[in-house]
Amino acid sequence: MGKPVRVFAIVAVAALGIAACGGGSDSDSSGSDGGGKTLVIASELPLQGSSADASTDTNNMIKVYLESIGNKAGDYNIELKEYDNSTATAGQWDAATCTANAQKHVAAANEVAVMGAYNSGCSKLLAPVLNQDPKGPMLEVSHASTNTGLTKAADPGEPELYAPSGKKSFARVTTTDDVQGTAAADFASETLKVKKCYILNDNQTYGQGIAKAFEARAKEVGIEVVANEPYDEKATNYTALFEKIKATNPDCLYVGGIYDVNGGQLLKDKVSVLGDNETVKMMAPDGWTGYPALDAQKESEGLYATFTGLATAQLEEQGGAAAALLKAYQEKYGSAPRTNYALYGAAAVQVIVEAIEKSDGTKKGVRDAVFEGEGIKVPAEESATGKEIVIDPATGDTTAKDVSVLIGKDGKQTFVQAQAVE
Amino acid sequence: MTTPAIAASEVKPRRRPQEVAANSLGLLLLAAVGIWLVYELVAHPQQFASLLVAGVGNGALYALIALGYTMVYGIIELINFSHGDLFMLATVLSGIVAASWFSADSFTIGAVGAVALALLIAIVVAATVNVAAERVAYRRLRRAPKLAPLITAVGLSFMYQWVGQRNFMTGSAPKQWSTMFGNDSFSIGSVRVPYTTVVVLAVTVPLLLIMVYLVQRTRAGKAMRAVAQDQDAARLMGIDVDRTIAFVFALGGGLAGAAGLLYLQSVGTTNYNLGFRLGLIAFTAAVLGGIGNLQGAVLGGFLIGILQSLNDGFLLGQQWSMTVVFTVLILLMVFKPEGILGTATTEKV
Repeated sequence: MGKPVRVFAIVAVAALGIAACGGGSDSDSSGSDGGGKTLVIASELPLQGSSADASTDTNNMIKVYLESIGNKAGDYNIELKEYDNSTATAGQWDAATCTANAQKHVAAANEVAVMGAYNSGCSKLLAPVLNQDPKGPMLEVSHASTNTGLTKAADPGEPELYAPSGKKSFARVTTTDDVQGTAAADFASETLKVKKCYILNDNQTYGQGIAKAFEARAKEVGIEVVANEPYDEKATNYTALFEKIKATNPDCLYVGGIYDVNGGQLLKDKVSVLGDNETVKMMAPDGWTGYPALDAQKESEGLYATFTGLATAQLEEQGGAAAALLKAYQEKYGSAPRTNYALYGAAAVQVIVEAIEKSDGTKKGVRDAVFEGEGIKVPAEESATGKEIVIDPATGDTTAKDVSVLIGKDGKQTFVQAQAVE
Repeated sequence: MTTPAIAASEVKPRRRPQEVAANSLGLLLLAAVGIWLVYELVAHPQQFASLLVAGVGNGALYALIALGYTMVYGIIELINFSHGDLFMLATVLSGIVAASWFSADSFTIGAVGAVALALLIAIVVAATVNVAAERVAYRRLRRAPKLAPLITAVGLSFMYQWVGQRNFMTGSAPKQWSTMFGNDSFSIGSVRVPYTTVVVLAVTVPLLLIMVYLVQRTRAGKAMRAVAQDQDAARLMGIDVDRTIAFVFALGGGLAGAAGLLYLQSVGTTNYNLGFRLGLIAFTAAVLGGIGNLQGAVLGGFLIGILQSLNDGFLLGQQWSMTVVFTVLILLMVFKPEGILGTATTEKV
């Protein structure tokens, strides 16, 4: 022993150190500093872990859209800066990273608005920080954060909690989880005709919220809810859990949460203990859409998922601006986006671009364009969601309330029907 | 003539009232758990049996990991924290061989061959890695204070995780693999028994017997026990201490390899941080059974598996499972610090 071993150890440690340094830092690609003609729109997405594919495609779709308008809004040049709010260690969005990113948005002088976040939990951390930006409040427009409390009264203190400055700054282009949960329960009762549901949630902000919304509506329409219980993300498997559920004999299982939270194992054990999705219907919210890994699982056959908007295939059929964007995307990247949220990401950027056009190019100006006066309107023929987008200045919510139901079929989530929302 | 002094060891110390109280409290708790179990058994016999089967399936996997843990501890008193992560690497490796190379997804002769090959590769690689770790990291720390090898083990576990997190391994998100048996199962009455549970049991029990035989009946085992007692004395007796310890690490690694393959074939999901949770459970199992004791590790593994499963089904629900397991561990440490099958020693770790 001695020398060779020691040399090897030193080389190994040095290599690890270099690798570690190379991995973390995100490149700073923002253009000229402050006040110039280039404004930056930040996107807040989890670029690592299970959601990586969906996030990459959303960023790409935004780039396709920005190219289609010549990267310009009014007199300003627009640049997209991609922030990553996930860590390789977590394999999904990460609270500490979201908080750190929020500070970066506030510190960046030429950043005027944030597109995102994808996860409601992350949005809840971003919103209050952006709201208190001394040069703002800074506008945040989410394409996928559907948690009710972000814009409406849900838990105590909501939604004022996310606008500590007293002026709202969080908007979104999808509908909310109270609407989605209601639609899902209506679909379960009217179309699937189930009588007894067991609800599991992933114990995250979004998952708990949507599970609660589903539970409330299910009880109203006469579905017996056995329990609404969190599952353990790190459990070896869920066999024992499903044996317990089996003993209560439900004809439907609702999982509130995101697929990232060990959803693959959960689905597998559900099918092996309770039976396939024909025998005991399984439903999930939009957090279980847009995952190639989920589609590849044979157990996803017959899994119903709701989506807060229209599915990409529907929008393509409708033609118009969405179809044009999809065509341009297909030409540039050689395939369709792997998530229905990609077009909604573009729609959120449309709202931001519209706001920049109406503004004086400052953070405050961009925010005011959305929340003061009559607010923002994206006409139907331009909208990436195929429908007119109107952001209500009082809440930040969009007037469009679409919920579609998808079903897992031959390794793809295909459109079943649009669920009516009252 | 004076009466001979009574040997000190024959004096039975008077038990203090606190001690009596603590012990009876422990027995009371145990009785309460027993009564609760009997109640559930009578009230829901079928569900109880199903949960028991699920618990035994997981317990056997914990037992296999714990076996490797306790093996190394028994000989050099090193809590090898990297064992769980070595197991994780073996899980991913066996998945790559069986699922990616040979796409074994049904019970055919070809698939059995592929899985056997995966088992062989997993065992050999895990054993090699473990021996290399001993050679490079632990050997030079053998006379260092106990904390040094312990921290080294923690460091190694991070290195293994780093490797596991690469995209050619499992990446940072959970990954699903096709398995030979899939979800197939048979039924006894209306109790569902997955084939994988039977296979895991059929491997764990003989492996335990082989290990016990190896340690207690063979020459190599005799050398191991001698090294465990006193390394210097063993060396004086002509035992090659380095080789014996390397052999123990090879055995421990091999066990991690076998456990990895069986885990993958029965669960089918890998995650780079799998080793942390499972390593913790296996360590708990080893301590519960009496660390350093082979039968104890297996017993502890089964106990934890069954306890978790019954808790998922009857008691507090899944989010409390780890809490229940550690509560039991703490209680046992209070009332019987040496573990269920362990022998009392004055100083450990």
